[in-house]
Amino acid sequence: MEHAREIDLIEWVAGRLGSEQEKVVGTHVQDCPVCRAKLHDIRKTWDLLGAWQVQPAGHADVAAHGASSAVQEERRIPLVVRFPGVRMAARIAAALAVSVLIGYAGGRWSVRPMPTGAGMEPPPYFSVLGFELGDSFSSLVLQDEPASSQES
Amino acid sequence: MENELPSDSELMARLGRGDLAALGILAQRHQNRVLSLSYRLLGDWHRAEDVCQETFLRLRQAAARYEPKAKFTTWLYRIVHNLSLDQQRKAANDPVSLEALQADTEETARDSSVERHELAEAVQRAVGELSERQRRVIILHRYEGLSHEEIGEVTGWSKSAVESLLVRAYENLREKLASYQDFSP
Repeated sequence: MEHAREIDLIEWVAGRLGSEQEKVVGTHVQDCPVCRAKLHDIRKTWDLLGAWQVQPAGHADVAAHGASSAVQEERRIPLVVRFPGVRMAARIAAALAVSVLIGYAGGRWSVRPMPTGAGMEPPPYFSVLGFELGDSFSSLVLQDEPASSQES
Repeated sequence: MENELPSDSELMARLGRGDLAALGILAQRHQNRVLSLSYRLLGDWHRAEDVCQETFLRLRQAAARYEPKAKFTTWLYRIVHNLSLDQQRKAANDPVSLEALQADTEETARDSSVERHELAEAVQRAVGELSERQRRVIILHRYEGLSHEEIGEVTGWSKSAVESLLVRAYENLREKLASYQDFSP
């Protein structure tokens, strides 16, 4: 007589055999003392294992905490990470902003007033010629240059 | 029917669309089994709580990509199983404190008769002494009620490997618990 497979006996004890297979194994066990003894041992072991009960109830609130952590985590995740489309839009916006800033700074630099010789005493002929201290040095040179070239 | 509770897959779909209330329902529904499994795999409530929290975070992160191909609980168990493995690797470098062990023992001892408590400890010890793979299949089979195929999906092992591990595990446990055969749990 072919004995029942041990894995089938285990499943029989666990109550997880299909009804047809359960009938086949049950019939065989009735007629086979070897398998009956094996089944008895497996059932005993199965029952003993049932003594190890865990009580997660006292720790259950951590799951709720886990869920709320997930929510907090969600809030901490930047928009650009949560929505990939936003990432590209943010990049374009950042590039535009940098371009505008560079353009603005460059423009400011190009129209910056020339240095005014702060702290220098104006020469005595300044006021006679109608110049003021605020006039730039470069304009003085430009105005002086034609006169000197004529002299030479 | 309108009053029917939403299925796990429906809740995952809602979560994928950003409905975080769905995560709360999933957590309430599955927190006990996640905690039980991780505790049995790790033998330490603090680490089990960490795994539990991390599991629900992973759930949130994976929700948008979730496709209900396998049973939700099988998928959930796979996350718990993998996270527990990671925890175990960490634990190898960071042993459990004596205080944590004492706290766990006291907790188990509460409201238990001496005999029953002794038997529960013996069973826990016997399961703990099994090889790593046998221990995992026993926990998933005996305590979580998973079929051989489901255990295979959770662990990534073949069905025949799972069956052979189960047979050897039950044999080993019978030998280890031989002196308790007269106990009735």
